[in-house]
Amino acid sequence: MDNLIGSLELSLNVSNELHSTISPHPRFSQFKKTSKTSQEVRRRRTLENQKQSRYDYYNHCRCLAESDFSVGDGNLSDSPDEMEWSPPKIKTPRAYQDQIMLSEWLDEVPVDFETNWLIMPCPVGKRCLVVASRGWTKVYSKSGFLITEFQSQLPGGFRQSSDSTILDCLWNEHKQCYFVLDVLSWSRVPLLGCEAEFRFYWVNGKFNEHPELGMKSKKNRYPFIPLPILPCIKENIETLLEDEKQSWQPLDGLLFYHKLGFYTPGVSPLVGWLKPFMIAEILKAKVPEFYMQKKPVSYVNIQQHLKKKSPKCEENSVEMSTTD
Amino acid sequence: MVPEPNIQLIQILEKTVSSEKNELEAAQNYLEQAARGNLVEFIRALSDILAHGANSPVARMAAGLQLKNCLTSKDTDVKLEYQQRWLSFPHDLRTYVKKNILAALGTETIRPSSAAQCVAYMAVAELPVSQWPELISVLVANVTAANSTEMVREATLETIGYICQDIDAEVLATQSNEILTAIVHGMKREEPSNHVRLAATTALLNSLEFTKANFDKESERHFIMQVVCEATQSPDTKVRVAALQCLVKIMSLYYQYMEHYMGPALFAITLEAMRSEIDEIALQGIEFWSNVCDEEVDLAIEASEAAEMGRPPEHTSKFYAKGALQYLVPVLMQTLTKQEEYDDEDDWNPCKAAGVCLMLLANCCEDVIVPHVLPFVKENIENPDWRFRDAAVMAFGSILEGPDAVQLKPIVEQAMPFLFKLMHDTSVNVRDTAAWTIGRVCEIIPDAAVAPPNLQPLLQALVTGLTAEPRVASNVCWAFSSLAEAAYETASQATDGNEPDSYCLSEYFEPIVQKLLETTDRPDAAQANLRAAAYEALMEMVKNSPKDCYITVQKTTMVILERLQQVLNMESHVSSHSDRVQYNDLQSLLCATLQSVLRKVTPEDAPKISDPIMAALLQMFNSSAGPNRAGGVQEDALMAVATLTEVLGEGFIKYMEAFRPYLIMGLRNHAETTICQASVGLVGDICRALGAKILPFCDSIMSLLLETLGNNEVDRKVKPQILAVFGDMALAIGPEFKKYLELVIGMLHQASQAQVNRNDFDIMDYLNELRECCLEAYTGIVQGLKGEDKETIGNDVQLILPHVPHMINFITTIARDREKSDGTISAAAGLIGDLCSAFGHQLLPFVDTEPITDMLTIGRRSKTGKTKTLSNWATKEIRRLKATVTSS
Repeated sequence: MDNLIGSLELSLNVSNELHSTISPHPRFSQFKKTSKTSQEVRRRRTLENQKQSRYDYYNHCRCLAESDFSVGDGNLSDSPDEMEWSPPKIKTPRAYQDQIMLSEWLDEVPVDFETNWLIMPCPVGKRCLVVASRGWTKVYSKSGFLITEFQSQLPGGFRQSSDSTILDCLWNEHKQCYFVLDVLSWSRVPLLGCEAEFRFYWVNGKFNEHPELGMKSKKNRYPFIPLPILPCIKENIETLLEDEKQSWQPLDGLLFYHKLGFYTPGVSPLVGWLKPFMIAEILKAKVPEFYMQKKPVSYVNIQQHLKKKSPKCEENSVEMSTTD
Repeated sequence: MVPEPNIQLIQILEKTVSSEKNELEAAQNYLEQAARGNLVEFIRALSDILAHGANSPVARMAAGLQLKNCLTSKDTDVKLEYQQRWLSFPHDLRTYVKKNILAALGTETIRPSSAAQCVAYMAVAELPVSQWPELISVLVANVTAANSTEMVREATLETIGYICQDIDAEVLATQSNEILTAIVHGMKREEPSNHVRLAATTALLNSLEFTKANFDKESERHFIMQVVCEATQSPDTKVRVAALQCLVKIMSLYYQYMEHYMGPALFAITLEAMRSEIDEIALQGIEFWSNVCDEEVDLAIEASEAAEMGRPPEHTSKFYAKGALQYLVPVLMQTLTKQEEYDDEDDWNPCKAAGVCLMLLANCCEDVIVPHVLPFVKENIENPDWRFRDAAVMAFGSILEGPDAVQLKPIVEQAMPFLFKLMHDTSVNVRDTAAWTIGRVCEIIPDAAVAPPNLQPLLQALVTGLTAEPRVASNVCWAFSSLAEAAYETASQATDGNEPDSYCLSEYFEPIVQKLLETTDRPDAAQANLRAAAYEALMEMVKNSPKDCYITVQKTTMVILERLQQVLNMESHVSSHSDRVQYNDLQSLLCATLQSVLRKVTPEDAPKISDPIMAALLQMFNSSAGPNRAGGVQEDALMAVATLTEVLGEGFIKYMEAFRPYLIMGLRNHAETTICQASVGLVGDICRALGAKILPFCDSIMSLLLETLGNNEVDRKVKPQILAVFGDMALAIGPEFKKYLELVIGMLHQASQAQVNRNDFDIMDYLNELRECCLEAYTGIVQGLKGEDKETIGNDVQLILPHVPHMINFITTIARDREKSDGTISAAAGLIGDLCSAFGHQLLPFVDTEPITDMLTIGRRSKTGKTKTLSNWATKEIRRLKATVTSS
């Protein structure tokens, strides 16, 4: 009978007493507590991570430099209430990692080559992103590491300036200057989503307005030299290769931009790249002997060249050899 | 007379407790059939049997049980359904049944009364809809009438207790006086029956929430407190425990009123209880003080928040814990030495409760606890009796959190050699506690752990500890997790948050990782959660590794991949349920570890390993979606895919075709919220990774998202996320999003107008999340459709123009909402900025308004970097527009 009642009692027990012996004590988890990553924690982290990525992505579109542009920016402290906040340190490790637009080998001539493409001579140098913002001009490597910082006349690049500008550049060690390939944003106007032709027009216009940018001075530690951009016709290609007097000589190669291409991080099929010794082969243009001599002994033709490269890369694209 | 069919029912009911399996099953089947048949008659018959005193006690009790099961359920949805069903029954039946069961109260001869439960659950159904108005006065009369029997009073008080426990407090608020009168009557010292006193005390415990009005009145409060305090002195243990439970609960509900009783009564009562030889009583005594600590920690937080806002706090701490420290600590130390030699890990006992209480006291009282505890530690850490050594280490480990780390550091450094020695103690309990304490040091005062003189012996002790018993090794794993995190943080502080080149664990990194991998493979790793702890430590080591450990990270990646493949090959050998559980856990752990290694892999290395990883994950989806489906595994695999998309970026496109069926399956999985949610989140990740390349997949994904959004069966948690993902997609495909625009904007329009019950905190959180996600979706759409050039407005973005007034209204509603979250401010600021840059000066009159300006001011002062950044930006955008307007 006792057993019987016991079994009834259990089935009748609907009370959830605070410290019932049936369920674990509510403080049990606090005893010899260790932190444990349950699936729930992983889930939460994933969600947080997604939120953060979305935030970063949106800010990226708003303008790259904005991920930290306002922190410590004195611009708003004109009204007294902003004086209180001290700038927090936002951890944006390597915000500029992999933001540079890279080219593919131009292993065949696009059908609209002459009408829709532009060429740019590309000198030897180290590829970098120049970010002028919050009064400093900072130079980041392709992988996002801060290489150096200095004062320049770029909008945002000198003290007193609250602007921001981002340029895609090549650092030429020998000439101690930055060649300007492309522009991501100028004076807080984002140009990422603008067509290549427009970006080049814009940046060349700005450099014409501000000749001081091309000069080394106290306020402008290194000259910034925009590279010319020309329609893709044979004469232009040959002129670029022959013109020895230009500051960008000797060339590392030629870059080809599709007029309508936006600036996108990573390898873009809308940007082509050829070494000078390949130009005769692909574009059937005349190439000075000086460049032809640089052809490696092992080089047969571009297809072979790409095949040799591809096992390492898996993709039919390479970075410009000037990048590192 | 009992009608004929009831005799058969009585026999069946009596067989529900049969020890013979066949009889039992037959009886249960019969009853289920009966309930599915004519339920009204069945209920009527059951109430007859319960009410009829001549029936056997078993039959009556079983009848009550069956009746109760027709009225309530543990499942809240089913419960609601049953209550509705009951209310839909004919009025005369309900009256008849109620009369029966009410008459049965106190006529049963066995405890607990099943009539009490029937009355209670019927009351829970009827009272909220203003039915059965006379019930409470009948119950009160039952208790207070001079001629009521002990059984009537007891069963009635039980009924009251059950009702109070289950019913919405508001329903009874107007009758709380009557109820309280009955309860207090049953609790009084003069009450001769302990059964009645216990039932009354339990009822009081359940009614404390809605007797606030009585507690607010001093005289009534005095009376309740007096009765409760008297009950704590009852010779009957059960009554004492229940009365002490009341005190515990009163302390958290009515802390602000306790000053009057603390010194003269509560302090002495609870201290005495803590010293009791009876475990249940000691536990309640300890719980009282743990509860005081919880309260006072909350009050301290409230005080500091109030101080920040420059106003006095609403409630203030009376610092009872601090005041009682000198009396509490010695008792707790004593209790700590009462360990069980062969402790059942699931048992809760005073010794464990004392450990937790000490920890809470340290958190609450901070620095001042140290001198109270240290002497005991010093005296006993080398005591020949293991119980005292263990208590000493436990006490030491418990006070590490709370007191100032700088003050503790030298003490901890001194103690470390003792702890290392105790890792080899003869008692496994001591070894376990020592390992736990070392883990605490690594987590809370890592400076003391990584200090050069301690680091090497520490690592030695830990590596050896990995081979100890599973429970010891599990604690050691945790120590490694904390150590890795602390070491990395120290090193990355020096590099301004960037990945450091090296750190203090670099030279030991590879052997530690190796040992942890071995630990995950221990044959006994299923015990004490060791395998999970070891993988966890491995993840933390990888996550917190500097550049010079990358080779080991690479190697580990390969090991994890290999294991994943091995584990998938094992699938066919899994047979038993426990094997299956372990197998699934292992897959989940490997997926989680995979995520942590993938996060570290360089962009150059990622494509090299992505093929086999994706192949393994696809296989996992395939088998976990099959007959042995395991939601947990699928979810972890989805999260691993999310990480992979992040690492591969556009490169993920090559897996899209193969992965698409599983993504769709996940999005369709409305029954398992976590999987559906993970799949929705993953769509966002894929959008970001693939950009415009996701376009060919958008139509099918979009229709699923819309379907899920419109489905009422889907957990509401998923919905805000879907909205936000619309934004991700808009941004990814830009102008192509036009085709979805009207549909999506319509959805957002609806969602942004959601109204909720503002008294429910959870719902308010949900509202804020919903709003935040709406704002993010708008942001994605605006950004996706606008040309980047600020001077001209593109054609595509013009499509949004008709919706801008609504967006502005929505933002203004949020801006005016006093309960807006930081997240919504941030997202609203972002959208304001985006609208400004998309539409230029024509927007100025809409955004340059008082509510928006005020909200941006709050945003600029936010503690969150994001919110501050975006609010600053939005403010500047508005100022820029103003400047162009004035200059032109």
